[in-house]
Amino acid sequence: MNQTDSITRRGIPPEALETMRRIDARRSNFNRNIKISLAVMVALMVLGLVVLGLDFKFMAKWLGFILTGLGFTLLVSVLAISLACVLSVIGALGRLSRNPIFNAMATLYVSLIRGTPLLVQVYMWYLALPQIGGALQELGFVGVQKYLTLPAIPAGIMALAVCYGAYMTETVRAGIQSIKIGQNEAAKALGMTGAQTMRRVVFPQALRVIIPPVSNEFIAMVKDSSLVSLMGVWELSFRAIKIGRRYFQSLEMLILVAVIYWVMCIILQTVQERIEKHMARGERGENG
Amino acid sequence: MKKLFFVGLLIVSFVFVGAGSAFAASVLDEIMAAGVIKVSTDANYAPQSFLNDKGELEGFDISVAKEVAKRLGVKVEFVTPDWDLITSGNWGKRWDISIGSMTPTKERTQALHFTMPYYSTPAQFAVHKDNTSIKSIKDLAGKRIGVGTETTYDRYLNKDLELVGVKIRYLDWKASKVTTYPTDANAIEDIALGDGVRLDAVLTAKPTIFEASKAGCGGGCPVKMLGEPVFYEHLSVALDKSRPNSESLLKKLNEIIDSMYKDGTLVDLSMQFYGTNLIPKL
Repeated sequence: MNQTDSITRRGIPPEALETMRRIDARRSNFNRNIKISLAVMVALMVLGLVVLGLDFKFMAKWLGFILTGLGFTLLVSVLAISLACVLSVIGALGRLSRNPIFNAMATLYVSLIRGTPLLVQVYMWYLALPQIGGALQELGFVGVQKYLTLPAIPAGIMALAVCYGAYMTETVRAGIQSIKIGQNEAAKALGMTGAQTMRRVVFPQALRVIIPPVSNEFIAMVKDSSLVSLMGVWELSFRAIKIGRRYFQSLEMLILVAVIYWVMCIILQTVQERIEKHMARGERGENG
Repeated sequence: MKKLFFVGLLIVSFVFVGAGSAFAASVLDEIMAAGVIKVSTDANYAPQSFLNDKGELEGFDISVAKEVAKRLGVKVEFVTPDWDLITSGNWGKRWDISIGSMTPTKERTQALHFTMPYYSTPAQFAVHKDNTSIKSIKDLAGKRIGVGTETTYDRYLNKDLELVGVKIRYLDWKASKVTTYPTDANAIEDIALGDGVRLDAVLTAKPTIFEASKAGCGGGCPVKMLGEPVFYEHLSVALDKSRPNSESLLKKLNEIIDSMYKDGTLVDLSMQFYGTNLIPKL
């Protein structure tokens, strides 16, 4: 509505206005049809579940118990993404560094972590670290094993943070590189050092590019946090799996927990859209 | 900068050496000093270890663990890692013992210490309730059989099971396909889908089949037992071999289990959870 109002005010000929209104109507029609289609598809899915003959009473009974695990799921995800953000900035600076050692370290980090399954990494943090500690102890570093034996939750957070940090390193690097060279040159012309340029000019602008994909990674991480259930953390999927096995009704519990994850991700997606809009505020056209 | 680094390294190594020269306490002393014993259990198996209606741990293993802790005079704390993490050893003090119906196999004794058995379970074949063609274990030749991965049943079907102190007689036929699942419960769910849909039979603990047909799958899983148990396995409490000075704890646990045999506690618990006496005569 706002759009057409401002158009009238600018004194556009009525024929053109009519065309614009028609385009507008077509767009809102399209949006409405999408919503109807979505509703129909969801209804079909629910119907499918009914046809499956699921034990809905059983699902309702355990919903509260499973939802209690939400706290752990969110705790692990939020801490892991925070740590991953720090790692990814360090990683990106490394990937762009002209210091060969620093650069090689960052490259190795990204390559190694992205090239191995997260599941294996979770086992590494949980199983391999204490063993390394034991080996170090035999070499004379007495007492070191205690510190390398991570409890389940820290091990899970480290595994997720280090893994996602590697993926996000590339996101951050791409964000930094998307800033036009002119910005660098202008900063240099003003007498800024490299670090100052990065801190004051390049990074704040890159952030705008980086944040949407990072919130995307967060949504992915919320689901990957289910891997910590392996180590006995009583989060969402752990609870669902155990109850399912207990009563030999895994399907019901898996569907229930899937729906919980889905709803959670829909909420996160809405938040992400908000953030994206907020970040796009200052955006101008190519020539602006 | 470099100098600072070396000085730091020196300090750190002194701290470590200092800590190491302290008296190395036995595991039993550590538990008594902490006033709590950490017990790992795999909450995937009813009625050994499972989540009850309130979502709390319950079962034969849980009750045994509580009784063991009581007789030690300490509190009990449960941890519930994945089964593979328990059997692989190297627990790194995350938990002290495992009371999880574990069979002392030859491989496991490389990583773990075992106490005397506290009960035994029969290994039992089961088929779908509607099945009429499979009448005896012999009829399973060439059929598809489901088992939990890395369980003794998995090993048995692969003719690769060595139990400490138990003689195993393998079957003289081969299954056409052994499907392994993360846990035995999944195999039972798969056979419950229908006769021959994915599986023709499962091999698991007799109490598990009993529990499934009684209370699983909504109103009792459609499975029935087939023939006699193929082997019996003794189940023990496990300790981490990589943790030094475990001997006194092992001795103490054996004494406690022995006393639980003698005063009938184990038989009572077996009757309570299994409805039958699974405690071997010593």
